[in-house]
Amino acid sequence: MMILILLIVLIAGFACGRLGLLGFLAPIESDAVIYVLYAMVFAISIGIGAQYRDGEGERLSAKALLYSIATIAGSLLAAVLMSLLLPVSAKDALICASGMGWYSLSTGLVYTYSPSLSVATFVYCVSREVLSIFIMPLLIKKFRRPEVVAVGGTATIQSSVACAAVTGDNTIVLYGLLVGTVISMLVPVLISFFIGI
Amino acid sequence: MKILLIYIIIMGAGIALGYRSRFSSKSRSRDLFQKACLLIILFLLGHQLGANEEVANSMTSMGLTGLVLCLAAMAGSFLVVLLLRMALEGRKSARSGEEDAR
Repeated sequence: MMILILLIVLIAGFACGRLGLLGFLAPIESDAVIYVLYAMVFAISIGIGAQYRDGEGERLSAKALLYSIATIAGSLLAAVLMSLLLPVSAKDALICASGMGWYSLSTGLVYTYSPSLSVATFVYCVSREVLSIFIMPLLIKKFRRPEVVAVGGTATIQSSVACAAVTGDNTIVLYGLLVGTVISMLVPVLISFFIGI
Repeated sequence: MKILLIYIIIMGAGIALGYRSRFSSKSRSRDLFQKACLLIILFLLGHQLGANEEVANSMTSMGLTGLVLCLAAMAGSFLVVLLLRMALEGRKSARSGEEDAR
């Protein structure tokens, strides 16, 4: 039910944007999203701290780093396979997939290589961010955190927050932040590497 | 990276506050606050996407390529990490059920 509400709210926002309604939001919405996210992360963190105090918190292992690398490997492998079906070369697919959901950085980096590919990268990253918000809360009911968080790429913070809001499992936010941080650090390296080859 | 650093600082501050204070680990008011924040974020995100002509116009050409790559990459990451976890922890834990989600 919560997922349906989230979807309706997203569509309502998109419709308002297309119809030019609530135009006064445009100058402030980028900042507003970040500040609301800060408030939300802070509230969730209080819950996490209380869980650790009560002995309910979970320890993060070095496996998380391995899962972060596997997340990137899975995305790149899938991109190479899809390049056989799509009108892009394997190199372009790898560059695009290396964005991992970080559209603000990767779109700009890819633009210097190919403006048209930067559009694909932008859509790839935004789609990954938005879709993971809806897919992760569904997957967390059947699967464990490593594979669920892998879906989000660098966008694990927002989508983990959505998971926490839907399932009440706040520890996934801490895990998502760790994995998201590791992947984020590798995004500029990967894009530069694949552009260079 | 600056935003990521701010997230880490905010999380650290929140965790320290929750650990030191007497806040309950399960709070209905905090859950409601989190849900309200998520709805605001999604509405604003949808509004941004809807108002962006570049996004709307590119959906049919390179946008479709980006979307297909996105779905494939999400599935690829999911499968590779799932297989890795199964290899590390054993097949029995491939599906955790609800106990791990909570």
